[in-house]
Amino acid sequence: MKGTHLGEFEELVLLTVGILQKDAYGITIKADIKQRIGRNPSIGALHSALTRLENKGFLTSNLEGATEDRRGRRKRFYTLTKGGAAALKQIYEVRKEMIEMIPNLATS
Amino acid sequence: MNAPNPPRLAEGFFRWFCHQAHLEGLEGDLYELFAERVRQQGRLKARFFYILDMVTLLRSTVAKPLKFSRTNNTTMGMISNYWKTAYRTGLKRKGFSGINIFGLTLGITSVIFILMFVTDELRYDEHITNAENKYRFFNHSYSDDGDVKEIALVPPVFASNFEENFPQIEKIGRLLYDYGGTIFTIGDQVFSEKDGVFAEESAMDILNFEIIAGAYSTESDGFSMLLSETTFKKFFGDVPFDNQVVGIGRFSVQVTGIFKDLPVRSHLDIDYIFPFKYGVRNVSEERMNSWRWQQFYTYVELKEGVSAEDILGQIRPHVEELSRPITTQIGFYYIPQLQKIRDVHLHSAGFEWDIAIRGNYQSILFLSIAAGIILLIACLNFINLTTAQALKRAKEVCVRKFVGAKRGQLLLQYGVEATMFTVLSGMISLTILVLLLPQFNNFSGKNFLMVELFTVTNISLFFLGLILLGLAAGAYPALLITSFKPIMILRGITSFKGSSGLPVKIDPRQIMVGAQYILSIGLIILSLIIQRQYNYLQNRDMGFSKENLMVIPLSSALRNDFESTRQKFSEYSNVKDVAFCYGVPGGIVAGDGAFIPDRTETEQGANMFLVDNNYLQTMEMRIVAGRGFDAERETDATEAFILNETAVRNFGLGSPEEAIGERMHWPIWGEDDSLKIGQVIGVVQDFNFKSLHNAMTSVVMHIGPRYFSSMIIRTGSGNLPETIANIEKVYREFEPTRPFDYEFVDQSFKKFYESEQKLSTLFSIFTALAIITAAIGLFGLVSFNVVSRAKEISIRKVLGAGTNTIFRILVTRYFVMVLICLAMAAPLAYYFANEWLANFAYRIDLGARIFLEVIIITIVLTVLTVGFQALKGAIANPSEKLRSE
Repeated sequence: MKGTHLGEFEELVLLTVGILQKDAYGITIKADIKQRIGRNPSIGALHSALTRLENKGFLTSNLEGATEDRRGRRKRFYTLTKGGAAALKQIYEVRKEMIEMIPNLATS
Repeated sequence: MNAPNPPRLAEGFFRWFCHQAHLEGLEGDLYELFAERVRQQGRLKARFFYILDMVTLLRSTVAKPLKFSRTNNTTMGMISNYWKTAYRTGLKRKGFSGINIFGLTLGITSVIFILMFVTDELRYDEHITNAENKYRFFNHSYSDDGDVKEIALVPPVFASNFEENFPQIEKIGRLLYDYGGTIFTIGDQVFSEKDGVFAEESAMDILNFEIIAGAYSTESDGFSMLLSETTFKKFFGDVPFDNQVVGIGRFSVQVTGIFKDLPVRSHLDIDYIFPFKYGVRNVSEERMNSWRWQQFYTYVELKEGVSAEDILGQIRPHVEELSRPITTQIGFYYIPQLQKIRDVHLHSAGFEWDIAIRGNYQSILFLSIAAGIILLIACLNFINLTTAQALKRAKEVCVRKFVGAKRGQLLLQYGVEATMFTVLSGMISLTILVLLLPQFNNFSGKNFLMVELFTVTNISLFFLGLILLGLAAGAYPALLITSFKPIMILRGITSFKGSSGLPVKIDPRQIMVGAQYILSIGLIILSLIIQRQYNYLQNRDMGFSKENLMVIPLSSALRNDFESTRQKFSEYSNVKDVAFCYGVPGGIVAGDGAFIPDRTETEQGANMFLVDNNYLQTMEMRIVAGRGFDAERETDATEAFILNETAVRNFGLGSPEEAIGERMHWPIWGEDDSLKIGQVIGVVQDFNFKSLHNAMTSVVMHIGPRYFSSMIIRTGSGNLPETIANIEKVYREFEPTRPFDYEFVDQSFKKFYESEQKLSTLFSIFTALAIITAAIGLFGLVSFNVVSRAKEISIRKVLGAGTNTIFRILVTRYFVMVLICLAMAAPLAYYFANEWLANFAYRIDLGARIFLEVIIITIVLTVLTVGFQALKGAIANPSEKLRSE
């Protein structure tokens, strides 16, 4: 597992990329996290999480779609890899299992 | 207009910093965010956040990596290694790094704020052209009783006489202040304006008044005047200029022109101008040529190449010859001076009768020094703590040396490390600056905008400053650490003495801590003294009771019948007393003279108070001899005088009791050659009617309803808003439309001490900052000392030393040091405090008490910082420390 462990923020970013599907690049990810969770990550923090996820093989990226606001710079779109999706799923299973083992939480 | 751009410097820097693979995507993101923010929050904030965003991206994942970059040479590669090392050591020793960053941030923040304030003060009157040839006249006035005053007002004849006699003068012009302000009526609207002058056209030229519509004109048969742009809008709304007419009393006055508002940083604040001739229309030719009537602000522009000294050298003997025979008759003489027009704002602090908006050069100097001291203390802390750590890093240094590092490279490494700290602290300071800017504006009374502050030049200078600061602070530790000989490490050195060329016995670190302590103790003493003096100014017994005294300017309706006005106002239960007068403490008071026919030939200078029978009682002044004015005795109104104690002394009348019955003459104002002849019926205790910067002067009081200009109401304490509202109600019965102006005497006095109040607050803040910085520095040093002596302490304990002894060993040297610092700081602070206190005629004594208090404060602080750590060291279990051996 070493090297593929997911931090809390990384998990969040990964999920967001999954949700946004074809439209996941720096600004939209940042905006989505802000809107959904209320956290406002700096683009530095976000970028470093994205880079780490890419290094771990959970994300791939490609450059396209320059706009005027971006002064001709293309966007770096991120997509979830199979590995990334599997990792998310696995985390979800583990969590679910664990939560069900807490008596009070499971019943309520 | 082009679309706004993000800061170019940040843009370029990021391009340089960022890895090629990341650059396009990230730069695009930054631009997109920027464009979005420009739309939503405006250009300024967008630029600011662009920098913040960019800064969050400065991390190793984004940076150009060394191995992939062909452009990087070894030095650049090493620098990135230095960053990494610095970052890691910084993280490893969180406590020390925290102390360093905290201290540096405090220092840098104080310096930024002070720098902002000081540069703003220094930029007054920048709009004035040819300023190096423009001056304002003022007089050094020497009175017979040895009093020296600086007076901003000079006689009217200066301008007319000098223009005729001295060809070196290009232009000369006078301003006469419109005392008491003017009430304007426009249609059914009434405006009460206070900032106006009667000005000669030449004075307006010298002061660079810019007329944007109409002209300065004296042709009108009635009055004419000029308004500032803002005042014009206030009066007439947004209409074009068309020689509008305003009402002043029963006159209609034509507005013949509009001048551009003076810039914020101008020593004059003027809203309306009357041509000069109207101000002196009732003044006789003879009086306009008087050498003793000091009433005019006079500005002069000298011809190119003429120096102030040159012309003063000619003016002074000329003036002495013409004025001295006249002025010595009334007990004084003066020597004319010139001040550069751009010095008026900062160098007129002690002037009397000045309407200029004045800063205080001395306060600026004090504050700059205080801010510098804090920064210095922070740097010394940094140096200290870094050198204290030197031993721990000796191994690293030696390994680098073995591998082949040259000394120059090691020096660079520590330079980079120090710069990392200063730059980081600088960023935090900038954030604090942005957060505190509104409060700072509020406190300083200035209006700094972020647009003006965050310019490319300012930011570049700031970072350049940070780097220089880092190099300066890093230099000594770097030299020290890099002087290690690798062989020493191999042998296993256990202690390290500086090889900086100083005598071995003196630890340079101790000198630095000492310097910090001297500076902070000095600041403590100064700030205590400033605070004491300020409290003293506030609470001194003034000789009358300044609380709950309301002053209302008299209008003609109120003047009609003083007794019935008094009656009406007294009906309201919270009004205790009502008096009418010319001369209110804290306000403007007439300077004049009186004759004592039995004693002297010449007139005696005095401040003249024209009062009514109720005045002494309303002001709660104390009679020390004789009696007050009495309504029952009719002669009191026509032939009675009351003096203050100083007048009794200055006029040479002996004791207050002996002064009673002395004959006295007063030349009645506005009536040539007629005298009020009477005698002294009472003496009041000296009361302070001017700011306590000024010494007490002679006062003569007598009854003179003709000249009354103010009504004084003594109110009861409690429910002030209701009292004011009720008094306004009564006032409305007399004056339905005229604006209800009032002042409180204690407020007017408070205004005198505004700058002292600010100085006192600022100094307290700075002192607290300095103490905190120095204390954490000492704390860091002591804890290091305790840790590095742990083994020694343990062995001592094993051999039988008690906790007490250990504690004493650890603490003594710091106490000795602190006491030595006290001894050195006290005279320094005493000197500066005395300089400052010289501004005040009434001041506190610098007794031993203040110094005693400082000793106690310092010792308590030292115990708090040193004691805890020392105790921790002393009670530690020796077996814990020795176990590893």
